[in-house]
Amino acid sequence: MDVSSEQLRQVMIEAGVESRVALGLRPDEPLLKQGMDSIDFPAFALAIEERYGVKIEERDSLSLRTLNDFAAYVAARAA
Amino acid sequence: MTEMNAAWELLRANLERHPDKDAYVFAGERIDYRGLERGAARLAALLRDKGVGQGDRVLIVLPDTPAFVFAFLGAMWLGAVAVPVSTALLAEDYAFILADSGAKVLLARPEHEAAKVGGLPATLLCGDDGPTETARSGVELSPSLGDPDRAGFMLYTSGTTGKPKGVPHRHADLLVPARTWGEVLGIVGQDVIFSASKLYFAYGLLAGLILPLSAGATVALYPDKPGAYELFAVIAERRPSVFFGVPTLYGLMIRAFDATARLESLRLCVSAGEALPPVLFEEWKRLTGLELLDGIGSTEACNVFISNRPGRVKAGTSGQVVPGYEVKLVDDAGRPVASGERGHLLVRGGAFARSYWNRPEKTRETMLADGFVRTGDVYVEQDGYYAHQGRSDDMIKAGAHWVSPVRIEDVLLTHPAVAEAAVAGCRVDGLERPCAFVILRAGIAPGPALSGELRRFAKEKLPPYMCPVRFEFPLELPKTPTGKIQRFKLRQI
Repeated sequence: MDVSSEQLRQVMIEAGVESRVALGLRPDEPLLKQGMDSIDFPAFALAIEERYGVKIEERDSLSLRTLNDFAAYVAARAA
Repeated sequence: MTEMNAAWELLRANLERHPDKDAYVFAGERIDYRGLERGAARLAALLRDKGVGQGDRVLIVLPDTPAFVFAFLGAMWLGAVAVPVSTALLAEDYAFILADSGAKVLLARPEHEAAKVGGLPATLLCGDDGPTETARSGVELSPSLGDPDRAGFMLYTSGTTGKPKGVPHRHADLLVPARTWGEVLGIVGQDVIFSASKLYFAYGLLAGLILPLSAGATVALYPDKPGAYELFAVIAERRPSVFFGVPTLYGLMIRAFDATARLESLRLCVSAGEALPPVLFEEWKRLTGLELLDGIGSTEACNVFISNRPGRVKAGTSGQVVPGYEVKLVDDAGRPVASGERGHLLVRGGAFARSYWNRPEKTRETMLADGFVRTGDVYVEQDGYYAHQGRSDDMIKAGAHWVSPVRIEDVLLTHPAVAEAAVAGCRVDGLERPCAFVILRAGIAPGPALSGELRRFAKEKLPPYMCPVRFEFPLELPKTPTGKIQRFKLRQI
């Protein structure tokens, strides 16, 4: 399943991340360098799981750094 | 009984051995042990000018700066009680703690929320190096000697009802960690220590003041809340040999790690505050080659009482009992459980507080007559290693902060769409986080947009770590026949 950065930004806003943070994200830059913190990160990961019906494993989660990483992860696993 | 002053005891050996050695390094400034003594004594003189006497509480709401260290040691130096409190609380929390502690003086930065709370006899506004005013007399006091069992400092911890409770510690308690957990970690005078956990937390106070001053080491202070990338930058610049962090932070650092990270100065990494998932231990070791020593302690202990040891780490456990402590696991009826079975963790020994401040009922419930203290944690012991299994109450440990579900529920109930709310811990990436279960008012439809709105609403009204990471909209909440919410049925951990 292909997922665009735009769709992921929308999921992020629905997870409660500030719109100005979500909409300003560059897809290939680490989220932690762009205003995401230890509180928003798990909320976003849970929202991704719920929206796309994927389970993000603990070890995998540690290597998901950018919007592009999340998009590729979902694309490889979601039906 | 030999009279003593624990603040003086922490400094004395250093003043004899190496008065010119750096005790703290902060933003290009260096404070040697002689400077530390002078700073503490000056602060004590200023407090005395403000009418602070023996046993009076001195509230310290300061970031990790020399000002904090002078204030903490200075209050104890005078024989008063240092009460360090988080800089990240809300105005209502400061008002509560000011009233509850009966503090005579508050030390805070002029722009900070706490400095705006009224009703105090005196507020000392501070910069990085201490109060902006100096003692009228300019006299440098000798340390006030007294009973080792008199109160020397008091820490606040969150309660199940959402109101923080004070945990008074004796002067003697300040000297216990060095000969217990400090021995396990092997902190020595050559160490340079950097703690991402702040001095106003028990863990941060141990890491950034009690253990290093006991060992005659040097501490690198960093006043802000560092992100993962800033932490790598600070480590590269200050070159600590020992780093103290919490699992949430190690998780972020693993996500931010790359080959340019300069960690060669580190010999030891320590974790506490919440249980460390095995995957974080394994990934940290794979990336850095360093073991991550996890342990469990408490504000009541002002120490870590179960800890992994260098070279003997068992991932997924808090480690073995620290010498000087005695631990037992019991069932609901208080009977010891067999090895391999879950039980409530009770601990005694070391530097445990003997009571809560003004909470006799909570004291009786938690601090038992035989000296054991109920931790509220559920553990399994196997081969001498203790593995965390969860909590026996509704408290949530999120990002190493205690979170009371009641506090979050009360905020959610003020949202016009919410009829009922319950909060329980859920596990995300192996770490516990608050999750909200919300019954909506008639005619309100659940959905992702409402989840986002509720989360932003909570973020505006609560400290960030209390903000639920997930909202679920069940049709009803599990309750007892008397209508009490059964939060344990909602836990997903």
